[in-house]
Amino acid sequence: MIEPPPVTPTLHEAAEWIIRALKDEDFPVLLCGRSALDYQGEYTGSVDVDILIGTDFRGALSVLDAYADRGDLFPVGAVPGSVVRYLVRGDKPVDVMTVSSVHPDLFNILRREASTPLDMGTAGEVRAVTREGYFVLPS
Amino acid sequence: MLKVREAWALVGARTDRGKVERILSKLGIENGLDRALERGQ
Repeated sequence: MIEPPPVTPTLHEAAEWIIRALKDEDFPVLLCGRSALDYQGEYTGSVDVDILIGTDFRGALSVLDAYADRGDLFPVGAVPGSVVRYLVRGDKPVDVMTVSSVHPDLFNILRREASTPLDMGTAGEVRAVTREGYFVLPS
Repeated sequence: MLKVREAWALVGARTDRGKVERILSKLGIENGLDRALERGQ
């Protein structure tokens, strides 16, 4: 496990931290939703972070649940089998999603054809969906 | 479809519409963006 997130994280710090927690366990991730566009200079006013998990969604949730047990995250809702919302430090909302229920190849298609690399600070390089990817999986 | 129309209002002018349709086609959805936008008119 990685160290706990900042006590009062900004949305960006919350995004960095949860991506790092997932990458620490080698889960492939894509940043999506309005926050992905904001990071590319669109300024959509996103108030949460959306993260697609490329494989083993249940495994990713079990990793995040361990952080929840430690008090770093609070699960606050879910669409069974597709989306789980967590609050980092009980405040900043992060939605973790699987795309396998939509189409088994969607993650790879988005990664290959509709994403761009972003420097996410302590989380390193992360791919984020472009506007074209956003239309394929709006959230 | 409503979310697609919202997204089009947000960033549509800067989006490569043909690329969206090509990706949707690979997912087995033909003319998905066109159909979503037409329903909103």
